[in-house]
Amino acid sequence: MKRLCVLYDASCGFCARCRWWLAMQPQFVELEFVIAGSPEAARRFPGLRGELRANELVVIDSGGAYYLGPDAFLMCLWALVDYRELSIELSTPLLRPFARAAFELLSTSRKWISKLFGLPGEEAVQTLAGIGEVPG
Amino acid sequence: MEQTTDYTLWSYIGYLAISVALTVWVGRTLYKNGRIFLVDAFLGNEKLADSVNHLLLVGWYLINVGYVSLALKLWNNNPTNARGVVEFLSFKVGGVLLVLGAMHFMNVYVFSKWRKRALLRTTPPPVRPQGYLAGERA
Repeated sequence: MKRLCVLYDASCGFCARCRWWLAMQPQFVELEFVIAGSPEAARRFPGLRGELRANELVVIDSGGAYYLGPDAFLMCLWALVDYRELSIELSTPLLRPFARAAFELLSTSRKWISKLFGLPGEEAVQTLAGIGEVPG
Repeated sequence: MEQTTDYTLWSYIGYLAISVALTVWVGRTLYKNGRIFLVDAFLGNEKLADSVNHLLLVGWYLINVGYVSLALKLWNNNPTNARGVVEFLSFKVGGVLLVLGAMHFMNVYVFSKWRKRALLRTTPPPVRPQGYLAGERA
């Protein structure tokens, strides 16, 4: 596996922050970010449309294998040098249900978290900065 | 002229001899037996492991002999009889042994961390993919 492509929700400020945090971390596997539902995502992964359930994080590796929801979170951690061990630990039978619940909670409450910390989405930031259209 | 035994001097000589001998013995033992552990921690790179092993041995001698020298005079009352000499030696050599042990465990801890990290590089993903996109290239 050479690369992991992360489809994230750019309208969620918290997700955009997480994307930058992920990008800054030392990586075992290169991470690439594509806005979920963007024209680029549709062009690169036309087969995914049916699979992509709304409100879920999606990670696709360079071989075409895809991971959804909590597993996608684990794959993001697994790609990072400092968090690979954590991802392995979180996927042990003992911790797995808790990790799953936590990631699902994080995913469903992401808009609320963004609001709580006052994190604007990428479109909002670009509109404010006068850049205008979000590049697809 | 009355012949007196300089107990303090003999304690120092005994202390230095025992401590340096212990340092060398422990160092050589770790050098010999730690090699295979280091080779594993460096993913089979034997040249690098041997080099690091040798550097570690030199560092070990420097730190421990340095500590032994510094700690020579850290004793309140100098021994005036044979019992005092034994007490002195026992206290001082005990201190040296504890320092050697602490150094040793620190080394093992650091290298087991390195080894773990080296092994992590080749650890497969913790989860299976939910599916495959036919003919996709990410």
